[in-house]
Amino acid sequence: MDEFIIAQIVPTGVGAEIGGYVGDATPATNILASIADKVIAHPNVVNAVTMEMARENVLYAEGYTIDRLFRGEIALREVRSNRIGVVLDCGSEDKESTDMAINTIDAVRTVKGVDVIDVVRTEKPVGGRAVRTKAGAFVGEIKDPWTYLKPAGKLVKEGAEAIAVSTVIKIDPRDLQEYFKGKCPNPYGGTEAIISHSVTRKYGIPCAHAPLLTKKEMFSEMFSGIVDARAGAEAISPAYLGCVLEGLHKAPRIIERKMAEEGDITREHLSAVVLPASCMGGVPALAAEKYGIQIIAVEENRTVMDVTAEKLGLKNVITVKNYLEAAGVVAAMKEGIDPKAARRPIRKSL
Amino acid sequence: MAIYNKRYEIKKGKGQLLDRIDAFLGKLGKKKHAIRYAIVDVKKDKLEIEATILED
Repeated sequence: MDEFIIAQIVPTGVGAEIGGYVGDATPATNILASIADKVIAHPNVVNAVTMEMARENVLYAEGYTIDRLFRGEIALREVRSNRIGVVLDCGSEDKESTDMAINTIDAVRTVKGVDVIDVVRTEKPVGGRAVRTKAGAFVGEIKDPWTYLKPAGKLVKEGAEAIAVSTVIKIDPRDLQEYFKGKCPNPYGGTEAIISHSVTRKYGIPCAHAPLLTKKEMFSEMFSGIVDARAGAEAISPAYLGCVLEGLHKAPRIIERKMAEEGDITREHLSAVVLPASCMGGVPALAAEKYGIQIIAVEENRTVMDVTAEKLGLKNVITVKNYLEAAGVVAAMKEGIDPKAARRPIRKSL
Repeated sequence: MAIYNKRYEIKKGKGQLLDRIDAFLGKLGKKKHAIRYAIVDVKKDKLEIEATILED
């Protein structure tokens, strides 16, 4: 029998109660991973600034990659390690920004043994900015993606098997302060997603983004007083590249579907996808509905969105109150037990 | 090349939502690629989609 593999999705920039901060979906993800043989999760689910504490069987896959996996276009191949290239935005004029990035890279190299083959600076500032939508979520805009795509391409030619991009993202300081109080979605996430999506789309390799803070931003974050507990990891360190390099270290390679071999993970290997109940409008949920992959909708993980399975008419959904219940459903599925058999009332056969 | 976000409205209609949205976004033109999208609002007979567009 094949391994029991699920996906854990918490969309970025939507103010998810669990996972909308920094790595705060890690405990829930690790509980799921203690039951499933493998859990495919995107970086924002487990990135926690210097920390990336996901279990070994959590596979770190960028959102665009997960979309393609659910569409059946690619397979994922596990690796022992990746050679990583780093693209660093020249957009911060502060020497401290670069110093922090390089020190973080060196820390991960020397403590974890991650192979960072090169660090290339952009020739011009990337100039990404966070934009708040009508729904209150954050998305991003980039005027010229070639500012980071070009150095990423250079790193790929040098042999990089994964790319970390660290850029300055323009954020309204008021939004950042609100975020630290737990009153607004993470403003970075949307912009980060489009940067990593575009690198993965162009070069077909794993990518993840880490914000590069100016000296003023570093100081402001580290001395904001006591912040919302879920943002705690940000208040203790600005070394965002740490978790990204740790995650990319063993991120699975992206293989075109027709080149997949035994042992690779394809859509057909996915048994379930776990999502916040109010965020059913993305590709993973829609593809899961189309291809009969069980959707597990978690009500407690409230977001600023209101796109539920009921509103979309999705049928292939088990709604649970929280991730502990989701774990129970995953355990039942793995055992081949109908989760409804453990609930009351139970449907009569006739 | 630029990356920006745009909202679109499509009719709810029948059939798989994935296919319908893909078909709609596939008609944006050769130079526009929706690299990310999500349904962000559900109205009576329409869906509002927010897409991240990479324009060549």
